[in-house]
Amino acid sequence: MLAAALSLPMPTWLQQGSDQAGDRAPGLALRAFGTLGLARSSSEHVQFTRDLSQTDVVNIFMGRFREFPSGISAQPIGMPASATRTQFYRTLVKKEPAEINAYWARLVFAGRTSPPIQADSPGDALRILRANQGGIAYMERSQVTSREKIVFELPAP
Amino acid sequence: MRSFWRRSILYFTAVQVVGVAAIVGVVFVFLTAQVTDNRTQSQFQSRLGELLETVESTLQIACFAKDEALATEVANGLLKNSEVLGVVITGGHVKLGDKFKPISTPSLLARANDTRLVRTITSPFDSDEVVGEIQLIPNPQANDQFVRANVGFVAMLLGLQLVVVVAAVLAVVLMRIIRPIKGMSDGLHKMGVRGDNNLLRLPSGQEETEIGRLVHDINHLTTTLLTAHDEERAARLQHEVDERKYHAIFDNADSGIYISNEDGWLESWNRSLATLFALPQMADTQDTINVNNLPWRDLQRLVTLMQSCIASNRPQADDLEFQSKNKPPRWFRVALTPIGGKRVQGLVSDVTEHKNAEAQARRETITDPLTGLLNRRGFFEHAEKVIANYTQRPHAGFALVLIDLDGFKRINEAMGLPSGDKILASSAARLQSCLKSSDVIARLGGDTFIVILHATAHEEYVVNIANRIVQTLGTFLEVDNTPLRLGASLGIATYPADGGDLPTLIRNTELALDRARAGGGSRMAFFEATMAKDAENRRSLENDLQLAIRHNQFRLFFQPIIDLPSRRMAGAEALIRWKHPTRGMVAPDAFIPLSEESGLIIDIGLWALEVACQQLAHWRAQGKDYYLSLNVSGRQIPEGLPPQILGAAVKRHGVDPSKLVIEITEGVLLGDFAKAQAWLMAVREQGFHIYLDDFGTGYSSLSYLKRFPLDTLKIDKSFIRDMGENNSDRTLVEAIVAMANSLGLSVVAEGVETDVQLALLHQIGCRYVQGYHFSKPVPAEEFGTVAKRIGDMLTVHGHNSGFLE
Repeated sequence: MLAAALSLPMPTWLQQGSDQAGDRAPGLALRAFGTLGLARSSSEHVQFTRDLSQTDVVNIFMGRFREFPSGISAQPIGMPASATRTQFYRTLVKKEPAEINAYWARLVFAGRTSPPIQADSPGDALRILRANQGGIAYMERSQVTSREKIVFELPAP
Repeated sequence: MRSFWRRSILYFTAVQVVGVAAIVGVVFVFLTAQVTDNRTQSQFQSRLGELLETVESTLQIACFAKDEALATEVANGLLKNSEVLGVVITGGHVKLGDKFKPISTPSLLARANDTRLVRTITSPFDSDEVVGEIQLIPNPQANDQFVRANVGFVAMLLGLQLVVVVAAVLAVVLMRIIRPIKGMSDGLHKMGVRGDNNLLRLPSGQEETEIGRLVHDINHLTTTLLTAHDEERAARLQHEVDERKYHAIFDNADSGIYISNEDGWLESWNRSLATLFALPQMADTQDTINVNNLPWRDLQRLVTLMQSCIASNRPQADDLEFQSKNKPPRWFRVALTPIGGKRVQGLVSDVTEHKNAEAQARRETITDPLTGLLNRRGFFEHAEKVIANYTQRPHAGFALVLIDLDGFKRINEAMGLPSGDKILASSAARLQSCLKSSDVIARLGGDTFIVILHATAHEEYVVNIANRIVQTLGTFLEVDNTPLRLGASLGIATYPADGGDLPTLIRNTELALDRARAGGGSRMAFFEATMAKDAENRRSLENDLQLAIRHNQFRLFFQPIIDLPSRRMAGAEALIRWKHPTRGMVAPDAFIPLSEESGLIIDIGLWALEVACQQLAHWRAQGKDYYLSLNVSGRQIPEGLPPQILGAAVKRHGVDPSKLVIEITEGVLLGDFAKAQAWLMAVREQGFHIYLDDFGTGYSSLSYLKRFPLDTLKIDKSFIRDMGENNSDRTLVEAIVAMANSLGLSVVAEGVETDVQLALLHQIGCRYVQGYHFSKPVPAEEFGTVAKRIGDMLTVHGHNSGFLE
């Protein structure tokens, strides 16, 4: 079972990566973007991968591709309107929540592409993440558990 | 009408305007189509671009999400635009939408291929990332339609405009150009018929335009041409008239008229010329006649006249003598006028009478009509020629003889002018008889003649001739039955010895004549150098005389006059003396005639009057009862010494007029008789006494004694001088005294020098005497002494000689 976790950029960026964020000043929670942690649900035959680029994340979350580079179909999981969500999109695509909503509205209205699954809370997001193979969600790094794998960390804004 | 229309400006204008307008219109429409097409195209493009932009964000999303449904939706939307023929949307390598209008055909698509609009679609999240492409294929039909509509409209507008412009141009050309020109043309066609309405009418509103100016110019030209035409016609008429007139003049002229070439060959001549030159009439002859072959006295003058006329190209005229055979010579005035081509017109008039009259007049101006001799002018002209002649002959000479008839003036006055003229005429004839015909005789005026004796190498010859003249003129002459005898005085000067020019010669003959006259007349005198000197002397004396009065050089001397019966001094005669600063005492004979000539006698007379009055006043103061007689010259009477001045003088000095005696000579009475008489009357009325001096010497008539108011006669001393020896003189004096006594006149004997004379005079009964016997004239200051001596003398004398017994 894999989970994507979101952690605040306090101690480190990645578990095994260089602790770039470690030297960042605490208190960024107020102003800084959270680090996106992407996790896939645990599955026996799924090859987990860590090397998602920001482009990959955008493509998956904005409905362009629904599979990882490895070919496994991806299930993005969205968050309800919250500071985390706002910060996520701002950092990722430099868009405000209203613009993101309008984007999806057009696709939903005329097209066949569907938006990420909407979670009600970070806990809900984790649950959906765990329940879906190929699920990917964003959250504060601190919320990421060991069960989830962080596939991408958003840089601090 | 049709061909006229073809030739009309309107036609050309219409064709050309329409043609040009059509070409311009086509070009314009073509250009409009091109421009419109291009513009529509670009508008189309931009419109499509705008269209794309409205759907761009949706397309980005569709392409990004590769959402075919959304892409198709957008393509459908775009296709609804009429200008869009088809839409192709690709996302990456995937065709997302591919929509075309049903009208799309391969040809249409092929046309549209060039104009299709291709836009790349970027990612909504990364403007650098291309996520797709849209191809918009415009509909060419829409474009074509638009262009067609546009061009059609423009073409329609242009066409309308063309029609209106052409109509307007044609109307203007018709109204403003063609009509006026037609009007002018019609007007000009009507011209040529003489009338008043020859000028073109100025089209209204065209005063300042080219048409107006053209009309003005045409009218001006017309006027000029008509005027020139009229003038030419008038000139032609005038010419015809003139020609007729001159032809008539030519035919009927009194003057001869001819035309000849420069060699004198006649080309034509008129009747008068034929008559004058005794030629055949021009119409009657075929002969060639040369004017130079006519009998001219001096042909060369005619030839010269012709040459100078041709050479100077000016009219020339001359008088030429014409000598026909067996006819008296005629004078013709020939006036030549050059008429070009080395030909002349000759005008010939007969001036014979005029010439003769002229010659006559000329003769008269130099001839003395009375004697037929040369007159003064004639003589001078002739003499100058003679002298000019002699100057070329150095050894030859001539004598100039000036002749004056003695006493002619007196006789002329006594006998009247007609007798004088007869005397002159016969004297001239006599004079001529003494001379050769080659000698020149002239009357210079009055009784003066002058003669030039030619080639007088010997003085003897001249003397002989001169003597002959004196003799001949001195013989008796009978005029009006009265035998008269005049002498002639001759003054002779010779050329070149006595003068090289005429004035000098004449002056010298005058001097010689003066000498001859002074010698008593009836004689000749040759000029001598001393005469000139004497004359010079006289002239200087005359100058000195002018100054004499001012310098107080005159003196009055007094010669006593004795009253024999009472044996006392009755008075004195005042005698003038001139004390010349260098010459000493000058005798009155030497200066009185001179002063009479110059008129100075008048001033001298007044001076003498003043001094005489002073002397009388002096005597009166001394208690002496003397009278004083004063000589008065004929020149002083009457104006020189007016009676009033005499009266005033004696009054001023308080002298009794009866004490002042006026002595006149017989010469006074010979002048203007009436004036002299009046003067004497007036003088005598004032109480002055009048003495007649030098009685018996002149030509005085005894009748004067009766007619003039005289008191006393003074017997000339020439009678007294000889009366002692000469009986006849004594008798004459006796007679005079007797006559005087019988007329109530006193007598004064002058020049008494001896006792014998005194005794005789006393015996005869002459009351007064005067002379050296008693005293010479003395100055006033000596007069007292003399008077005293005479008083003594009379007493002693009386006792000794007893002439009073």
